[in-house]
Amino acid sequence: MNKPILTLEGLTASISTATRKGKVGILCPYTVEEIIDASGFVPFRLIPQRPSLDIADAYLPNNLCSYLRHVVDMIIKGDIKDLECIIMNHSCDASRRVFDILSYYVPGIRSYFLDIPRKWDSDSHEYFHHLLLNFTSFLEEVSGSIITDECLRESVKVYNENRRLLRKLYSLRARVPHLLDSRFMVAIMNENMGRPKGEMNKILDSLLSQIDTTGKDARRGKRVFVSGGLIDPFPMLRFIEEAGGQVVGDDFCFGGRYSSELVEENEEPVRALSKRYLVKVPCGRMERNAERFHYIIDEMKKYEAESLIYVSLKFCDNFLIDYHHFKKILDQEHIPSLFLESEYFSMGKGQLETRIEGFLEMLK
Amino acid sequence: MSLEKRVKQMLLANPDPGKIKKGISLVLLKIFLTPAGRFGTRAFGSRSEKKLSLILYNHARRIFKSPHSSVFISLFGPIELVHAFNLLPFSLEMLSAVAASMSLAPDLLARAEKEWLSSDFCSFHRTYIELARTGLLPKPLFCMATSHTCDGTFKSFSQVSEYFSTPLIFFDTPYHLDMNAVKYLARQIESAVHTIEEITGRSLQVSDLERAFQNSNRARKALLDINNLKRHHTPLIYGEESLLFVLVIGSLLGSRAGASLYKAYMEELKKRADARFNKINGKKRILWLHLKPFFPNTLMKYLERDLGAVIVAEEINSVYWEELNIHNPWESLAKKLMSNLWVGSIEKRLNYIRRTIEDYQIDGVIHFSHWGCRQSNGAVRLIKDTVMEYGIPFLNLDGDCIDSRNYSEAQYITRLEGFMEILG
Amino acid sequence: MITAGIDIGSVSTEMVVLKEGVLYHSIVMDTGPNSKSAVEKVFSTACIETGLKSGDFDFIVTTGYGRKSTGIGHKTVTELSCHARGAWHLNNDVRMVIDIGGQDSKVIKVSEEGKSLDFLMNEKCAAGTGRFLEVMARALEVSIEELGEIAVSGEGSVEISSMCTVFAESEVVSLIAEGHSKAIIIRGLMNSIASRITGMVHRVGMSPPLMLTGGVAKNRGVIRALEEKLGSSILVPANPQIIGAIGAALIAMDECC
Repeated sequence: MNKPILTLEGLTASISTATRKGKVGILCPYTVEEIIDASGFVPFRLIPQRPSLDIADAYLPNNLCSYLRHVVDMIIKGDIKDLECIIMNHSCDASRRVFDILSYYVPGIRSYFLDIPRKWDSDSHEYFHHLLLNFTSFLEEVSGSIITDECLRESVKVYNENRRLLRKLYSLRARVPHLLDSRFMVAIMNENMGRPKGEMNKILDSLLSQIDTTGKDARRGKRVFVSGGLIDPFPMLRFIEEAGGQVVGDDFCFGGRYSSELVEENEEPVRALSKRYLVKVPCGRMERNAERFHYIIDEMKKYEAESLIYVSLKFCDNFLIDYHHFKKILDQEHIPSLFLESEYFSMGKGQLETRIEGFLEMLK
Repeated sequence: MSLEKRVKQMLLANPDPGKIKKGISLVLLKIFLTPAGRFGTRAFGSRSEKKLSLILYNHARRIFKSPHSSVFISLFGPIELVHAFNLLPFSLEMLSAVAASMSLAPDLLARAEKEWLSSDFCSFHRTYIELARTGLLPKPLFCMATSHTCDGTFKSFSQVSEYFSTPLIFFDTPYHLDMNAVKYLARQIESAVHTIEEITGRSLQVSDLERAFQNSNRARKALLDINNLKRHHTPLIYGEESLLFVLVIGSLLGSRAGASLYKAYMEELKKRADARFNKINGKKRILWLHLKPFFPNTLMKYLERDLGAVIVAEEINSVYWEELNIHNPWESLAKKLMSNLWVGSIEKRLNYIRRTIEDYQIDGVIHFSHWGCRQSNGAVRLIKDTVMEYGIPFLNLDGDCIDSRNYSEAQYITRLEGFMEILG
Repeated sequence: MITAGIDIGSVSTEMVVLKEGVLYHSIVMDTGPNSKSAVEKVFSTACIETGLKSGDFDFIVTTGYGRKSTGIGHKTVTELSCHARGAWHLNNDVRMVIDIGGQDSKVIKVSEEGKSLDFLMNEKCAAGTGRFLEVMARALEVSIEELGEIAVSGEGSVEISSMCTVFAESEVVSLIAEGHSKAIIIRGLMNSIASRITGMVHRVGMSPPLMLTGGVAKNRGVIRALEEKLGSSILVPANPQIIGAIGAALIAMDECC
């Protein structure tokens, strides 16, 4: 079977990085990136690269989210260059404390805490609108220039285009999962979170045009949907593929759920943004988190996924506890599911492989 | 077999809220018959402790007797509102504490683990979810939760209200304490009042709200006075006993019984101070952060009575809020919620620690790191450095308030003794 | 003046006798299942070997896990203060002690006067203790003594991702099956222990000079891995197992004067 050569390097070679913009570190997709983009900075997702955690141990207990511990380790070791500031959200209790730690012990890098309402009624939109205005003022101060409405509208357009392209990519992946395999998808989504979206859209355009799927719909293997939060479980996804599964969809924070819901382009931009971010498919911390379960089941039906693998980081209350509730719904829908938890890097290869293989063997 | 063991066996084998009510009545009778004020004995430390037990168990009995008037709320929620509707609130977290004190927690937690409830999750939440699921709790009129003090609260309360098919009123507590945030929360509180009016079928009477606020303010004043008394005098009460106040905050703040209990404590401690009370031999004055293990254990007794490190200040008893104002009720309540030390950034907590070390002549600080409590334990490094600013030692004690299964007395004893050796 | 310190650990029991503050005799033996009889045995053995009688001792301090299990001894002091004092006695510059025992590990910050300032203990988890090495030695079919020598015989290691001893053991078995050499695996295990300990050191707050004590301190592989991870050289006494008992005996001297 001839696979077209798809590599990230091949796709990005033709795209030149325009100017070296300053980076604003983000950790959570509820950070309103359009405002950062409009300020002239690049929202840059902080993705840990190294398994070491020695320095983090000096600041955080080890029964705390390993993703955040790695981020703290990374920041204190100075791994990220050109970091203008870091935006932390009220994603969870651990985030609050990590913000406190960074504020006290890394005063050289400015950090900002963005609260996110857990409700989504009109009152919350109002309050979030107020919070976003404060956020905008902060970025204006860091950048030294005013963020105009036109800039915001431009950013909204670019980001909406990014969301459309990503959705197309996800639909395509469900049809040709052997081409758009997990290695590739993870690389693309990571790239998406490290580049200005304007450039990234060109890359995505180029990618989508290169894949000709007429007649190449390849529905074979066991079609698996992977659900999870902030974990970047590339090794896990690879184990699934090696065990004969095909990852046909996911709802990761910076994966499938990232592109949910467009921003209204005809409204006053900050208001439109406050609405979109509260209305999009919720994560585990939101009051309407149970909607996520139904969203996942709909996506599974759309992508014809037969089974669900639910992954969570250890010590992640927002996602771990949800499975308790979600399982009841999955059982009602007769959807076989597997629950996996792990630390960010140390994934216990042997145990994971065994569980995944055992699960896939169980499926008809 | 002791009364407690019999009650425990009965509860686990045949959960039935009706029987529980009878069991509580028996326990109440036993407390009533136990003499108070026999100081230094295993019974009660102070006369008021007997009153505390009576009031709490009586309140619990009423809840089991009239569940249609009961409300399960989260700790540090707007409890005065519930009392204003003449309903019976009880904090679910504190019900977990009571279950732990009755040695019920290990069985409940073992059952919870079979149901996919991860043991990384705080045992307070796991225990009351299981209490609800197992049928040990009566069906309440509704549940009420805030998003503080932690992420687990909302999720756990959702589970509980689902089991009971009762409405859940949820408050989203903002992170920042500014006017917009106060108004946001105040609007939620006002809207909750309408919801409760719909559920109960009656309107909130201003006179009832005023009464609840007055009771809360009286309790607040008494607690302030108690804390003040503890600043200068040789220890007047053991911290182990003071830490029980949280049970009252979680259920009776806003009620007349709650106000009278704090008043009773205040008067008793004032008498002790005036009489130059010296029965507590304290070698060192300790500030205790977070909560204590509620299951039967000798940790606190060993620390305070054997080692002589007496707890003279407890974070959980700090009066962090202003008096409630009946002329601006919703904003007043909102401010109270948002002023809690565990809401928002670590600043409020660190300021409390600094003020207390300065005002109470603290010799050492102990932080009890309850397993799974990320909002508290995540900050230990900062707390430690803040304490060290004053040149006094800090001890981080890893443990669990509810789950006794991992409790090893020997390990605690070595750490406490090691801490005493540092204190010198 | 004759004083003694007895350190009753969960795995081994040590006794040190000081005469006029100078090391006179020391004994190391297995604790066995009963702390009380272990103390009695080590004490009577010391008496036999030195010719001393129980009345000859001016002051005895017991420390360690089983310090309260016996009537022998005039005072109990935690192993935290005893290790701080013992290490500081050997070298007054020492400001941090890392003690890796058979079943526990601890990090103790030491003051200029040899007192404990802060500490962190791990007795819940086998990783980072001698037990970890025991389990792995068995899995690799080498003796514990050989582990250290094999580790320092070369360079290069493989990452052991599991934090837990039980899971790490199965990971080792897989690595053997995949054909990795024992030396590579052993160095990976040394790095694992070093990671655990380094985490504890950072949690207390690194304060060199550091001294390593406990039975595991005899393992050169652990020493090398620790020095690399900590980025600092570590002092290792000639007889690392008796440091707690030395400290106890010295504290006993303080009580006498």
